[in-house]
Amino acid sequence: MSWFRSEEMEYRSFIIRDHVAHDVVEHLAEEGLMQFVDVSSLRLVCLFPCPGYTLVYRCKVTSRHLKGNSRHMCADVVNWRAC
Amino acid sequence: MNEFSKAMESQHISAIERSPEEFKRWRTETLATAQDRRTLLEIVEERLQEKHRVYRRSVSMRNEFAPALYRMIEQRETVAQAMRLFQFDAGTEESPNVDSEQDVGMSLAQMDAMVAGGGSLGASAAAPMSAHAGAATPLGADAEYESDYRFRHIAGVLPSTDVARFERLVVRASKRQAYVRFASIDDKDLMDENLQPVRKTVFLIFFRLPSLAVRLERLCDSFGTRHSVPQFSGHRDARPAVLQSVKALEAEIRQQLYTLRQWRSTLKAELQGMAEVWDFYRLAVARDKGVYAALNLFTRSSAEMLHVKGWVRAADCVAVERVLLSVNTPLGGGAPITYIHRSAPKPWPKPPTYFNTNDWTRAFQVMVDTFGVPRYREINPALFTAVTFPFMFGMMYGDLGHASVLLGVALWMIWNEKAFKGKQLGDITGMAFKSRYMLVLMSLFGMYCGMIYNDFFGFGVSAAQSRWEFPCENCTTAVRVQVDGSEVYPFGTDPTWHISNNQLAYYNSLKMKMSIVFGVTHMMMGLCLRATNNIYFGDYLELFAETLPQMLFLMSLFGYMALLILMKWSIDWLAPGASQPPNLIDMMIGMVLTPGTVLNPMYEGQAGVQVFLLLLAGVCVPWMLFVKPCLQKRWAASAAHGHFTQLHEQEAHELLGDAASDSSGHTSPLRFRSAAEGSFLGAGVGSAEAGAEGRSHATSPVGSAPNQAGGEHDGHAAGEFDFTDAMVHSGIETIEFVLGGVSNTASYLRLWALSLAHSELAAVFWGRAFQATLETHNAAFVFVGYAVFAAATFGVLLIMDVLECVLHALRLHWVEFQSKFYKADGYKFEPLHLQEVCNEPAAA
Repeated sequence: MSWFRSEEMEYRSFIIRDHVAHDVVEHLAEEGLMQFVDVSSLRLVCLFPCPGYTLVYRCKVTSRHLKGNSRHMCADVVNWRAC
Repeated sequence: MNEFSKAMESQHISAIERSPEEFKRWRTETLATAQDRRTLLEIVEERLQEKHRVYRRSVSMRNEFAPALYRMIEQRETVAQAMRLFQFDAGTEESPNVDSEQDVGMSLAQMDAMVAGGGSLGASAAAPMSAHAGAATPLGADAEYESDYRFRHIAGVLPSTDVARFERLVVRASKRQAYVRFASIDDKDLMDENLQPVRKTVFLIFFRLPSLAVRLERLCDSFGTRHSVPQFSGHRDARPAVLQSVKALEAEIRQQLYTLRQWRSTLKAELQGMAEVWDFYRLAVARDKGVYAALNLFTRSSAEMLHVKGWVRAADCVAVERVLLSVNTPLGGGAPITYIHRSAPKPWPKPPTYFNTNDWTRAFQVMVDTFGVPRYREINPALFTAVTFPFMFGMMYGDLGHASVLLGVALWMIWNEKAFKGKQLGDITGMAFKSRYMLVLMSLFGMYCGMIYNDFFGFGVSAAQSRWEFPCENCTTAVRVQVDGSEVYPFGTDPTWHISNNQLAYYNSLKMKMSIVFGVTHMMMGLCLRATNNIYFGDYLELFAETLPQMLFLMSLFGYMALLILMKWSIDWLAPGASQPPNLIDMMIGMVLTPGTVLNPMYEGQAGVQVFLLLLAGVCVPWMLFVKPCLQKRWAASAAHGHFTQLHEQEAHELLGDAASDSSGHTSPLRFRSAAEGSFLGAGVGSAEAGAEGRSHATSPVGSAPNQAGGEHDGHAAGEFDFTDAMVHSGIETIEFVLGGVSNTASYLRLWALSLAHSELAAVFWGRAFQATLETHNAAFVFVGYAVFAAATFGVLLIMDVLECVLHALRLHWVEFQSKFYKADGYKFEPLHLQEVCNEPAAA
């Protein structure tokens, strides 16, 4: 009766090494297995920097380049049809 | 780097879409080629930058030689126009027609006339040229005459948009002593300094006064570029030299253009290569962005260990553990680098809500979620809505004909599902498509109710023989007859009612009563679901102090009314010896106002039963109002006297993350503090003590116990029991329910009202638009009448009425039904899913 009551949820917590973190998350997210809970706000003291902080920014920059919707479009874009 | 996409767009090169499988293959290959341990993001970044560098270099190279090329093209065009104007025949220089003295294609007299007339310079520019070209008179060969009256000229190129302005200024600057000619350039290669294609025009200015030269030249320079034009005047000898230079120019241009085209094809190939991998890059970046965003949610427990927490569906737990182990094995070399905590303490107690839906059920779930997502493990109203919503719609939309049109539309959409899915749909069409399966159910129930009402496009259908007959020709009252041994029409309403005078009274009574019966049943079902929820969550206080009296109250007044309706329907009032049928509304009013007396009783002992029910309803009100707060107060007091130990045990239990206490928020007054506040514990001890101190004067000593456990957040209010608050809360709930009992029941009358509106509208459109024109026996009128009838039926009944009925059925579910039991304070389970991350539109 999965539509009568919502499905059972389990709260899981585990500790992983830095260098496998990316792979673990990628594998879990491939199937959409886990909803990660934001526990970063509970950190009392941030002794160590967050792992993905600057990387998210880099991804954003790169995807903006790929999408080409950046505001400051360079003036020297060649109009190809004219050549 | 975005120039790439722009350039690709302008070249009609579109990036090739890649499937997840292709992406995986590409990723494996890419990571294999990059020997060092770089991440995919780094590789993508590097490659993009490299491509960009190449692209930039090549663009700047082009920008260096392109302006010179444009200047040459302009020069060529200017010379060509000048040659045309001066009638300098390049191809047939030996032609005998050409006079060597012929410099200017116009006679001096004409020129004078133009300059003096001053008027239509530009407008008539082309006309006199061609008209008089043949009739040109040569200038006099007199040297003296020539030096005085020789025309000077300035040639150049300016943007086509400036022509009118330029012309006006020339006229003013020269005080009409100059004459301008224009000719637009058709060359597609010309571009401005921003390399945008631009339309340019060649101008040639003629004037006589030498003093004008400086002024006009300055003017020309400010507008465009001046180009030198070879001296055509003079003699035959000059001609070969001119032609020679023109040819050289032409050759130079051709060579440069060839280089430009070479360059272009090289870059086009480059872009095509880019298009191949474009989508790979996009997917790689989108996926990594999602992954890194998730990594940011983790805490670092030591220099190289990350603490990951999250929700997993119970069914997926094994899969998650398998993933963890499989990722670790090759890299870890046997060392245990992953620790799995199976019962970790929860920072927040409420798990997310997840339903596995399909195309059919999704529409209903979305409808319920729009109101509010169900609390974790709460009964999902969508399951019941899936039946009751289409049925209530059907009750309002009941018409066999209209509903079958609707069914056709829904089935057509399902049939063409694949074609629809790819397309961008409009607002209403998109909505209809998303709820296509809901539409099927709605129209099926509409057809069913249409058969019950015996409505087919507003007409009655004689599927079986009517059980009413008029005994004579002029009789006004029909009598019942037996057909096939029964006086009852086999299914639905007897068609004779459609032609009777008291049709409306009959249908009103039927539909009104039906609405009440279904409404009370619907609300009762809501209360039953509430009781089921209470039992499931173990909240017996609410079950006995709220749900039970509510059920009794509803049943004793409105349930009894529904029962009376059914009873009245099942009594044959026309049978010989039957008593007078009672008026149910009067009976209900009398039940409350004059208890103990019944005007036309329907059964034995009715007065006594009604008094009992009234008393029961009367008892239910204080029951709802006082029992819960009083019990809570009592329990709080007794807990304060001697149950500290027990309390602490319970707290400790919750802190350990006992799954059963998830919903403890409202099980009993002592368990108000759910694990939410409880588990912040360690963190909040210091400040929590301060909080507890601040509360030391609390009225109820119970409050301080949970506070000490860690009520640093919003715990202060919830920690103690406030009788006044509970009373006010209970009072509001009671008033809302008792008043709501009346108003909600009345609200279900909309089922009748909309059904009435539907059938009456159908009848009006038929009678006034079509039938009225039919009676004129005029083909044209009938044609127009039918058009009006069809348009009104389509626009009003098939579109607007559907929307209206949906809206009202929705309201009945959201307000009348769900208010009885639905908490709707859950939140959705939204796992990180790379497939969805990749599909979402570009973030700003």
